[in-house]
Amino acid sequence: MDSTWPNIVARRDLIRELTLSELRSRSAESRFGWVWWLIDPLIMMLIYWGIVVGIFGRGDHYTPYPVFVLCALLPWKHLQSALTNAAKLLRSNEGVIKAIPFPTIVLPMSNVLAGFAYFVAGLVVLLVAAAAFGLPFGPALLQLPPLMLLQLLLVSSFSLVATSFGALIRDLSGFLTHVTRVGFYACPALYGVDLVRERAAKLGGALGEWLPTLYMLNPFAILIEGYRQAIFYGGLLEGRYWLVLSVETALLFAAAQRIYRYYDRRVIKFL
Amino acid sequence: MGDPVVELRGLGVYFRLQQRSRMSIRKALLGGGLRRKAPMIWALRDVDLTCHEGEIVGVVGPNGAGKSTLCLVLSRILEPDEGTVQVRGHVSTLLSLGAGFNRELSGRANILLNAAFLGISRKEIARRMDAIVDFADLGEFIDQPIRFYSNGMRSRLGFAIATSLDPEILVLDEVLSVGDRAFRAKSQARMQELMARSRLIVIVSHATSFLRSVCTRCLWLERGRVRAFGEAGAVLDAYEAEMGGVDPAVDESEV
Repeated sequence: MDSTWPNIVARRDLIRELTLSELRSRSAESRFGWVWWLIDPLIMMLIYWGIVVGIFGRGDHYTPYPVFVLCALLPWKHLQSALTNAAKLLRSNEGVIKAIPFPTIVLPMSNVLAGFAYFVAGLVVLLVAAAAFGLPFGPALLQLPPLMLLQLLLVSSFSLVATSFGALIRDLSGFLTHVTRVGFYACPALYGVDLVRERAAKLGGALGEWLPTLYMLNPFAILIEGYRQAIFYGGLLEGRYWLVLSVETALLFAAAQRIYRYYDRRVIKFL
Repeated sequence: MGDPVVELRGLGVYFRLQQRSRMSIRKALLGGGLRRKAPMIWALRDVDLTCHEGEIVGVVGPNGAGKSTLCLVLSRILEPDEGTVQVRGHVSTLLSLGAGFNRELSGRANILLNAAFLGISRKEIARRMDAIVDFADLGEFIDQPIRFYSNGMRSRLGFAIATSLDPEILVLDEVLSVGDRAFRAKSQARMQELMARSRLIVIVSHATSFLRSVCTRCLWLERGRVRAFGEAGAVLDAYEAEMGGVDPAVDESEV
């Protein structure tokens, strides 16, 4: 069955069941069950706080640093887990793909949605932490829903491509683990965009002028900056960044769907 | 004979040798592995077939003849590489029992999940839940994660879910024998009910005695091509003669 939108809409029950099953089974595998959803982001926050502030004595520029870093860690973890699972998805569901006709695109979609549920739980922890550190909540928080929607589409785009190629390339999952690790440090995760601008300005010349612009073409850099504006700084993400992020996300999502549909009919022969 | 329900014309499906062993990331990036063409093997070629309303069509052939590939094409899981497929009606499949089960979830949760894969709505499955649980007859295990189930118990649950459908066109691939003797008697009765309700049934099996007793016509595939298609008795006589008679082990276990 082709992975077209009418078929996907007709199988929305399957998307819901797969997402819930994935969440239930992840909780069943964890010693702490559902509570792990809240503990996990807290531990991540404490680890980076301990390393950056405690050991290296940095991060005082971004106070409170735990909130600053979690704004980046949460969307990045969503992408990372979605990608590494996606590369194994068709292979691990080979049995059902060869036994029952259904649009296989529901598998990566459910995988992304299950990760998104963890993200939302982490966001609650982040907001509670922000309140605990005394950060004021204002209208900037209204930026969260569109940012979350763009994140969902962005992670889905990368995930669709990883799912298709994961069926063709046997060691893609391990490769993606390394790529996302490198990508993490290339994004403003442990540092801020202001630091990139500051360092680029020191370089001077055309490079110093263009480097921050090139850097901010990375949709995840914009996304992280967006979450920081909404929660950490209490400001607004610049209009040009909204435009770049929206256009890039739309293009990536359209391209990813095309790639998935192209391989969709062929991929079963590789399973 | 009723109206044609399934029409295959010049059907061909091939696999490439490399598709059985996936490439590494190094080969994909450096060797152009995604584009390179490996030798192809035709799993099905030049298959013409018309099945009519009310028929029960058996499919026989040695291993590697293309029987399972034919089931995948009829179920629209696999698209043909050449030729046309016309299927008039909704196809239900019984190709592998329990496919899609999540080991960490209970039998009951897996009923919801498996039903969703089969395209049964949540409302409909809620209505059929008790009947499925009763038929599977797993006792208290129904609320336990299925990683604690034996293979037989998993198959019973899969069979109970898959056969709770009202199929129009039913495609079966060697899944007729399920569970212990008592459950097999129950499952055979359920199969008879399904067969009576379906517009067309296509059964792949090595159990020629069973096919002889239920099928109106039989298709004999050999190396992906149609060796014979016609009245069940005549095709099965010829097939058994070539294969050296009925395999009693198969006929005993599969029916």
